[in-house]
Amino acid sequence: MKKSLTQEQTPQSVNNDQEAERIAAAQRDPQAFGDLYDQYAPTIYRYLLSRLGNVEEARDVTSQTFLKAVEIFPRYTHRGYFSAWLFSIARSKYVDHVRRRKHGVEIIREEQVDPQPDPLTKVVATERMAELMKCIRILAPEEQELLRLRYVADLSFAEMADLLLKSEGAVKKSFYRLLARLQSQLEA
Amino acid sequence: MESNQLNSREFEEEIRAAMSVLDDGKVFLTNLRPQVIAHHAEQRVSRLPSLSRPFFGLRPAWIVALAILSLMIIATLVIGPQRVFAAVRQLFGYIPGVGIVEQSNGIRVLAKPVSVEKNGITVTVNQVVADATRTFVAYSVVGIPAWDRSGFPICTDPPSLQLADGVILNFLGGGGGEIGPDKPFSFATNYTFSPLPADVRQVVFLSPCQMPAIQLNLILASSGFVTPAVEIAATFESSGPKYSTTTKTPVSEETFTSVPYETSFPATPTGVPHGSGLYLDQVVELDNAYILVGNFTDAGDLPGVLSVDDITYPMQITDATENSVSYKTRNDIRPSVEWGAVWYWAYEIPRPINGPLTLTLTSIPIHQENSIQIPLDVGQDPQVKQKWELNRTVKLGGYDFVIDDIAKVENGYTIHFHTDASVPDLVLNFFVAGVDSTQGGGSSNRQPQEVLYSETINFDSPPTGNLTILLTLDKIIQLPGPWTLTWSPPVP
Repeated sequence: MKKSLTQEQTPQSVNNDQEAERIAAAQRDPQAFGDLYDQYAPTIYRYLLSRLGNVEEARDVTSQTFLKAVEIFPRYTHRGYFSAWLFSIARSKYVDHVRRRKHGVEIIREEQVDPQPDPLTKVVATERMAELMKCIRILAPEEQELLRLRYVADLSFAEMADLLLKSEGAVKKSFYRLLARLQSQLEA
Repeated sequence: MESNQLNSREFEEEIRAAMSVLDDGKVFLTNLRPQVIAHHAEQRVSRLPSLSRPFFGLRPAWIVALAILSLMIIATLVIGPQRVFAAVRQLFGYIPGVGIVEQSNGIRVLAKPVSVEKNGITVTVNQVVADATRTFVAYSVVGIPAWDRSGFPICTDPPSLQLADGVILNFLGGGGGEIGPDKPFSFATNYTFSPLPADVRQVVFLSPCQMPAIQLNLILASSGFVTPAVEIAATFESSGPKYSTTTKTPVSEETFTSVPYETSFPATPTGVPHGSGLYLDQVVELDNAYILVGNFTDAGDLPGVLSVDDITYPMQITDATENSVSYKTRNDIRPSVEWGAVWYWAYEIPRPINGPLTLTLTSIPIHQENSIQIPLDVGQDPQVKQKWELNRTVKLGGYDFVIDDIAKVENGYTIHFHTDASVPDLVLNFFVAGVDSTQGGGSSNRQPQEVLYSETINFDSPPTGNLTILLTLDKIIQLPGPWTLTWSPPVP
C-alpha cells in the first residue's frame, strides 16, 4: 500500500505509551528487545547506507549502533522518542566511523557519496530523476540530512525535531522551504 | 489547491525514489538480530553478579578451574605429580567448535540429532554438550518460507531450554551464523546456557517460532568423544614500553587550560603486575597442539583507553629462531569481552614447537582524549539568540579549531566553531562542567575552504552565570609498541 506522504504519523511514530511499555519490557527481558530491533533496524540500516554509500560499511556501522544501543539501553529514560535516541547513536557511530576511516582511507565527503550503490540497476532513471538526484547531491549536508531522515529513515517531524534538537515547527519550516527550493530548481 | 497538494505529493514521491537505497539489508539484519539480543542478554548477565557470578564475581568456568586447582595441589602432595597429571588429563577435554569442557561430572551429549517439522519448517537440534560449567546447544532451522510481518524470517530468536520442573536455564550467550539469501531460508547457530543439574538426562528445547517443543535425551559421551587436553602452567614474561598518563596537550591561549586524561582501572580477571601489556591466562595442551589463551590488558597506565572494538590486532608469533609460526584463532575458547578495557585472544599453535615463542603486538589502538576549558560568564538572565563572540584558536589533538561563538538557544547553548578544510571530520563533545545536560547533538558542514561545526546541548534548566565550557576531542590513535609475551612449552 502506498504511503500518504503528507501524513504526519509514520510507521515509526507509534503511540508513545505503547512504546514506553515495550521499552520497559525490553529493559527487563532481552528477548523483548527483538521487537524494537525489528521495528527500527531496517530504517537505521537504510539511513546508514544512504549516508555511507557502501553496503559493507553500512552493515558495520549498523552492528555497532545496535551493540552500543543495548550496552547503554539500561540507562535509557523514555522521555521523547526512542527512534530519536537510536538515530542519535547511529549518527554518532557514523561520525566515529568516518573519523576512523580517515586514518587509513581518504574520506568520502558527503557530496561525493552516491546514495545509489548501483545506479545501473535502477529500473527507471528518467532525465528528471537524474536532475533531481543531482540537485540533492549538491545540497548542504544538513539539508541532505533533513531529506534522509524524512524519506529514508521515515521519521516523523516530531521525531526529527527530537533528534535535531529543534522545535517541530522549525523542522517543518526548514523542510518545506527546502522542498520548495528543490522543486523550483528542478522546474527552472 | 488540490492540484498543488497533489503535485507536492508527487514531488515527495520523486524525492523518496531519488533518495532510496537498493539494498534493504534483510539477510544481514536477520543475522545481526540474535547477536544483538545475545549481546543485550550478556550485558544483563554481567550486571547481575548474584546470578551469574556467585563466587567473588567469577564466571562458573573460573570457579570450577579454581576448585580443580585446589584439588590438584592437595592431590600432588598426597599421590605425586605424575598421577595427578594423568588424572587432570582425564578431567579436561577439548571439543572443536565447542571449546574446553570439564569432565568431573561426565560429559552429557545428545544421543542423536532430533528434528521437528511444522508447516514446512524443520528445526533440528544437532548437538548438545553439557558439562559442569555450561550447556552448549547447536541447532539449525530450514524451510523458513517467508519473512514475518516485521520483515524478518521467523524462528531466528534464541531458543530456551526447560527442565522437567519447568525451570528455564539462564541464557549465557551465543548466536550468529549465516542465513541463506534464498527462499526457503535456513540457518545454523549455537547458544550456551547455564549448566544442567548433574543428574539430568532430559531437557526440553523450546523453539521461538511456535514449533512443537523438542524433548532432548542426553547420554554420557563415549570415550574418545572428547579430545584429551590438559591445562598447564601459564608462565610467561611480558614487556612493553612505558607511557605517561598525564601528557598534556598544548593550548594556544593561557586562558584555556588543558584537562589531563583520567583513566579508571579496569576490573580484570587476572592481576596486572606488569601494567598494561600482554598477559597469558591459560595454556591448554592437546596431543598435536597448544592453545594459548590470554589478553592485552589496559591497566590504566596508557595515555588513553584501549579501543577494544576498533581493530583486529595483528599478533605476530615467532619461535626461538625468530621464524614466524603459523597459528589458528580459536574463538571457541576465547573469552567474550566483558571486563572493560581488555582484549582477549586465543591461538592454537601446532606442535612441535621450537620454543620459546614470542607473541608481539607492534602497536595498539587507544582513545586519545584532548580537552580544553573555556570560562564564560553568560550572566544571570541570558536571552535566546544572545551570542558571545569568542573568535579564538585552540589546538586539540594536533588540529587547530577556531571557536567562533556560543549562543543561547531555547533550552541550552550552541557552540559554533570551524576548522580548515584540510582537517578531517572530527567530533568535539560539548559540555558545561558540573552540569548534566539532557540531550546533545550537532552538525557539520564541509565547505571548500573550511568545515563549519555546530554543537548544541540542552538542559532541564539551562545553567547561568559563570560557566566552564568544556570541549573534548576523542581520537583513535595507534600507540606504538612493541608489546611482547614470551612463553616456553614444557620440556618433554
